[in-house]
Amino acid sequence: MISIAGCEKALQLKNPTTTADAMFDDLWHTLDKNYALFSIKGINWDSVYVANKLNFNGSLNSSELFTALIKPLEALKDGHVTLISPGNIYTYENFHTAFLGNFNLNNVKKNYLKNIYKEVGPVIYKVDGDIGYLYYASFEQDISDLEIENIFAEFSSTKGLIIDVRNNPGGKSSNVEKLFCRFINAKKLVRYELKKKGPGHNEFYDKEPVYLLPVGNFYSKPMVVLTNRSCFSACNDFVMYMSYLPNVTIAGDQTGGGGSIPADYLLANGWKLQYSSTITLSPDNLPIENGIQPDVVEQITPVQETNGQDPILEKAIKILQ
Amino acid sequence: MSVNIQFQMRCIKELVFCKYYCAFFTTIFMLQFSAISQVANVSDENNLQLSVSPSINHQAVKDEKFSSVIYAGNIVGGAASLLFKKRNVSHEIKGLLISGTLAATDFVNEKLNQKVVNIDYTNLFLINSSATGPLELKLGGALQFQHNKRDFYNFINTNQSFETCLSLGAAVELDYSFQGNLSGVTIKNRITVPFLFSYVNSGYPDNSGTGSTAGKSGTGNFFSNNRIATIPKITRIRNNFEVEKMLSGQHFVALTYGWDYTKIGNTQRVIQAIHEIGILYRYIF
Repeated sequence: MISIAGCEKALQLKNPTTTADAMFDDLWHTLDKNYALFSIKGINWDSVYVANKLNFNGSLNSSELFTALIKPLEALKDGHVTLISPGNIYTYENFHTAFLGNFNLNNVKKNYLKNIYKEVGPVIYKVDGDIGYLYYASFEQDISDLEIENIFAEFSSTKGLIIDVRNNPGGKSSNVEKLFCRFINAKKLVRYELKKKGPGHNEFYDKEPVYLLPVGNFYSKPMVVLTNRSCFSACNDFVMYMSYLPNVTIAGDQTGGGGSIPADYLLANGWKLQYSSTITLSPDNLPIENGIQPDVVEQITPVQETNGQDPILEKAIKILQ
Repeated sequence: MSVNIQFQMRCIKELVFCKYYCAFFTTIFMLQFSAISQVANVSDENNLQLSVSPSINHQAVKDEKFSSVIYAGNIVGGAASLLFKKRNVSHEIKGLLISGTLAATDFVNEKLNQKVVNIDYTNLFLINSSATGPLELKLGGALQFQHNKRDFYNFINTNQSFETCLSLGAAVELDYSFQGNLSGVTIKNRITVPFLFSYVNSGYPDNSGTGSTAGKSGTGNFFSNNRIATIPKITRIRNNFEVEKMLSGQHFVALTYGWDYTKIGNTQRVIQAIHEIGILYRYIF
């Protein structure tokens, strides 16, 4: 039995310490090994260690520790980086809060849809004359194939479609694919993924292509995709996919980015750290981490928003007419 | 014999450089033990034994791809084995399945679902000269398949981790049969140490659930993605202890205790310890 206990110790099968210094090291080293975007973002992670480690001074209570641990995270400027403790959540939000909102759903419903529309789960849609409008609130919320089939049956008589994904924070890739696969009629390369191979900041496997196949009836008419800075993560992917279709115009503001796939890590004190674990490249091998530029830049000023106007939506209608 | 040893050493060197020698080496390894068995021909006992063994397993695992914290818990398992014994040679094939939920130490809301599948083939040879005496020493080889799969609850996107490992190793068993008042009671202890591994494991967390890359990191690609490793990159030690009581000429029951330590020393380490307590029923045909 002594030898058994000895074996377990030799295997280091024990929880690490949870002092403030140890927690900082745990967080820093976890990201150092796993975070995928140091090079793309041009971050010197060692400097972040030095700059923030010096701030530690003795023991910290839970709130102080949380504040101390988010400092290195702020340096990443990444909306996929989140720290969750029992009492606090930190997420980087500046990728959209520092910019105009460029969207007011109430204005759209009241002044453009005239409060007459259909709603299926996260989707609001309407056929107005010969133009269709589809708003997808969040790709986190599911919509079934049958529901999409029914919606697009109603769009079949339109001459163009507005797809509004403003304020869509992303979510499940499966929902993105469910929608996007209506817009292709052949197998299509939509992105490349780079996955970490080793602890080095540039240690990745060869890029993996991701293809999607068409599903259901092909919608081939002109489309305008409305975007703003809150289009993040899976929504950013969707906009990038759409931008490679010849019949699509992207209108509005740049998307918020977040091309990476997030992963979770349980730190030694039970707090959960979320980080970007991969790099996503467009079919042209361009990183999409910092967002997708629109073809037509359009903004909503605060005055226009107060007046109930949506120049981005109006621009889309004009493009389709 | 020296020729054999030299040949075996040469095989080991070649394996370091070429994983496809694995099957060949296994064959040679077993054939050599078969040759040894011809020397120590001391028992005439031939039989086929079937064993089943439900167990409670205390399992602890630290998977550094996902956590700095150890996940641990008591989960159920079961094993079944067939042992064919001919003279002084035994061939045993054993399957083990352990499955259940582990919780993070000190953070019980953080859980993972763990599944362990082991399929082992063990070939043992009676070494000591007095097989009719109370003490038996057996040496041999073991070919082991191990698959560990973990699903972390409440983790975003990328919550699965696995190792699949085929290994070749050495096994030693010591059996002692009591005499007198305790006649019919036997204690057995077997230790198995693999030294050559062919394995595939999940690397850094990623999302392989969409598009044409779906399933790429699964175990289905074992034969195309496997890598060869030796100690200390992978370390595994298993020990099984039994106290067996003969009920009648064909029926035996035993209390079993086993432990199984595995350490995969990648940059993202996985360390796992299993302590298993079970009741075994054995039937000799």
